[in-house]
Amino acid sequence: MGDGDRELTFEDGAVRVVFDLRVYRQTAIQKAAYRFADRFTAVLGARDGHALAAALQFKPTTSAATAREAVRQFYQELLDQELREQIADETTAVRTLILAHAFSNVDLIKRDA
Amino acid sequence: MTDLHPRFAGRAAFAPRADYRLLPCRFLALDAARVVVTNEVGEHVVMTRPQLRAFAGHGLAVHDPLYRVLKAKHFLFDDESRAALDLLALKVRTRAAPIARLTGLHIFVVTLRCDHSCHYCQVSRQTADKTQFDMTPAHADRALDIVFASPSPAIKIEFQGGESLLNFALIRHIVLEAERRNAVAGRDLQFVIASNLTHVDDEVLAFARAHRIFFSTSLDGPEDLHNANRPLRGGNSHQAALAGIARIRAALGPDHVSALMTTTPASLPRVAEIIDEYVRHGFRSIFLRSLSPYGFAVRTRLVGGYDIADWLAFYREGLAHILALNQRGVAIREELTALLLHKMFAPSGTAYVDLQSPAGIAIGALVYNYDGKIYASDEGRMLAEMADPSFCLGSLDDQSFASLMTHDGLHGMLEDSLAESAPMCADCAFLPWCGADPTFHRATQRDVVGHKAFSAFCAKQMAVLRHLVTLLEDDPAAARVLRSWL
Amino acid sequence: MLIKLGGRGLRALGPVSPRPFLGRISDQPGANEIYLARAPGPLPAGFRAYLLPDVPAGPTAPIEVADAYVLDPQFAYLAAGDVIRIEPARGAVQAIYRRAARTNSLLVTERCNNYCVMCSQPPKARDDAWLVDELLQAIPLISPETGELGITGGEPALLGPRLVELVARMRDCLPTTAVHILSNGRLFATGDLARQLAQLRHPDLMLGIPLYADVPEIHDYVVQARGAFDDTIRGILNLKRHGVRVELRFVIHADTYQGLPAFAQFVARNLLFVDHVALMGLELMGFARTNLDALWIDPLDYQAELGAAVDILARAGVRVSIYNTPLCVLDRALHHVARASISDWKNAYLAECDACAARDRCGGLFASSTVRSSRGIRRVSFG
Repeated sequence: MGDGDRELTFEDGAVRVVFDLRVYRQTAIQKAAYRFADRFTAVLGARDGHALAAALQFKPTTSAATAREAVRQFYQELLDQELREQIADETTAVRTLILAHAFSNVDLIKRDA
Repeated sequence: MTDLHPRFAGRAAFAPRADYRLLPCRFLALDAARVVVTNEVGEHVVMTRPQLRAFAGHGLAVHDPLYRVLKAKHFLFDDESRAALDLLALKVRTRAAPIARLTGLHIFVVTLRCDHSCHYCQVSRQTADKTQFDMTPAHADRALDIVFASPSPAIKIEFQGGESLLNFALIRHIVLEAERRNAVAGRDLQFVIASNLTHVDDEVLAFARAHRIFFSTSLDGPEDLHNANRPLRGGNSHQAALAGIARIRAALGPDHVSALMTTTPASLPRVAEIIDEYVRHGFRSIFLRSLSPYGFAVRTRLVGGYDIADWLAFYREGLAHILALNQRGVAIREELTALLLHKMFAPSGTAYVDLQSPAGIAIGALVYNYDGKIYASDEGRMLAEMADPSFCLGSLDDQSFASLMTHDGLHGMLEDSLAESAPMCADCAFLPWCGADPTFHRATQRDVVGHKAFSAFCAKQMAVLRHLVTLLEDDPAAARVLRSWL
Repeated sequence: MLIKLGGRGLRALGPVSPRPFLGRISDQPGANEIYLARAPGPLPAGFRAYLLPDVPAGPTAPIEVADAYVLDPQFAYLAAGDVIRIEPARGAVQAIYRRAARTNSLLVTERCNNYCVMCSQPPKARDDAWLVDELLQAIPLISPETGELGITGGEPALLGPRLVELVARMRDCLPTTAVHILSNGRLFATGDLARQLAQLRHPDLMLGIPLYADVPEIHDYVVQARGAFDDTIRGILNLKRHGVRVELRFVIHADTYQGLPAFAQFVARNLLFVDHVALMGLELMGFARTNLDALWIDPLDYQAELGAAVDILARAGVRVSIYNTPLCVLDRALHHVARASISDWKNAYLAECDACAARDRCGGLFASSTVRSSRGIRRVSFG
């Protein structure tokens, strides 16, 4: 599972992590972070090779336990998001084909007159 | 199992190729162990995470029962059999086709005058002044021009207010004029009067019977709850409503009046009583609605009075109570659930304008206000009362159906709020079962798209759908009742 | 009654025609009319042929007309209005159309592009184009009051444009007769056949198309042809695109019954526009008898699956019927969708049926059921 296995430190209301871009693509990270925006704000840093540092900033009243649980779930979501990207990549072409056929001008079915 | 005569080939000879291809699908976590996966038209399969990884990783064996289910429901196909593509295209088309019928629901706000002062009301006025707050016949006629310019084969004209029956004269005018025009137009034309029923007299009943008009009224629950929500000066709203319901049923038939409830903080702990009240008074349908964020409700802090978790508990308890009643032979169905079930299982989805993508604003429903202004939805009208006119499309004085349908502002809102391209919605497994709600997000986040992570609409939809999928999957008795509502 | 529709049964009494010919049994003389004598007596002039009852040997009046035959008693059911083929060389007669039958099926070819494991009319790969030629002649002789005619095979669509020609002739000669074509639908998937058939604007045409599963591998196995499922689906879509009515037929046996609910779900979601779905009991003829041990399942043992399928289809608003299954082996809840569907010439009832309260409504059994039948056959009484 990668980064998620390491001990998560909760300092100044933030959990700092480093994403391995060989495992999670950047769009997956951004989409997962978007989904978790109600729980923390992901402040993404600069990219360094295949590492992307980030600070997951929680509301001031958040406990360490709550924060860690949120980050754990976030990594699960990150895996899911990575899988979604993979499926989308694979199915884009056939989806376009299906939609084009669906919305073409050809009569697909004629009901009884 | 005996083999066929040697002249025939066995099943092995027709086994599909081991490699298969994915069809477009989306997934999300159902619970700790399972995910729900949906295809482009909202057919779904529940599976474990290891199964999901096997499926997406092309590792599913062709003799695996899951393979068969996913193939039949069009989540995967093999290159030898491409009938799936034709059928999927047809299903997509079937779901999308009703959009092209355009506006079927036309709401006429015939007056803002009202005799009640309901706490959650967005719009009414306590006044006897007819000139200021009644729609004019001239505007009504112009609205009918727009109604019949819509290509929709089914037209529903709904009278709202205030208390619509306070302007019964205009309702009569509109019904007669609409029927006169429909003699040529030949649509499936329906009329509904939304009313608190305190003004249902013999004249109204006779007219309603002659023109097959339906009534829709408010019944918030048992008497104390209903009356606390809906004060009627010098009267008892609950008793008046029940009396009106009885008179309508006697004159027009048992199914000519339906009831809607509005949920307030006081309703939340009493869902079983509310449902029992509906059953007691002969209703077979109840819509467990959430509190809307518009109008007086916001001003009186009612919205801040509960959060979505409270409402979800209310819904789950209410649904459980309804399912138990069904299993004892009482026919009552929950309408939000029924319409979500239709989106899940019916090939054509549903026509409910408030849960569509693109949103049903203007293209599904139009509202003609007492002052001649035209709104893209009833909620849009309420938003205007809160000084946000984004959903006002102009005036009956200068708009036509064509100009309304090509309104730039409208198109902007339709495109922006399209769920298929909204963040989070675009890859959400529940997309085919959900819809855009631009007015809600405009009201709560000042943006028609909204950030769904902060959206009570999204939280509600996802929780309700997870609940329904789980019931269908894990509770056969509940599933039987739910499917009977289709 | 199991009656023979054709075979040897004519004994010539005088000169005969050299080749086979058609005719209609009638009491009015004509070039295509055949006289059916019920008792000995003089034969009127002007008929194409004469059929006499089997009379005992003895002095009879000399026969002066051509094509006079004694008719074997097993064909005594023939009656006015029936259209028959007489083969003088073999002394054979074939009933092509019987006016008294509830439905008549016209065989157009025995060739087929499928090879179903339970086929009751096993295919023969020979040139039988003469069948259509003959039917084109027979149709004008058929009574215009006929309610319905079936077209069967083999695979009728193998006729291509001749099928269109045949239906056109039926439209023109029998404008109020419904036409029901049994076809696997595959040849309608591409090309012009669907459009041509639709353009005839036949007033009451329907295609009955078998579909055996929700996935290709099972359907293809049952019909023994890879790619058949795809062709059939495309054929159905193409026919409906052109406005032709289509009914789906699902034959229930050991290899298909478990898939009944899944099949119903598939139809309810993907093929909602079909005009009818028939769920059919197995006829133990042809390959069904060859594969009897592999395919047999007692209908009592698939009532759960059948009930689930009917329920799914009915809820979706699809018209559904159960064919070829007697009421005593059907769950009571399914009786309202059971139809009396078995052609009269192969329809049978057993001794216990005489005392059955449901006799009038029940379609009975196939005559071939004597080979194997359900353990549940018994007279029903309504409490």
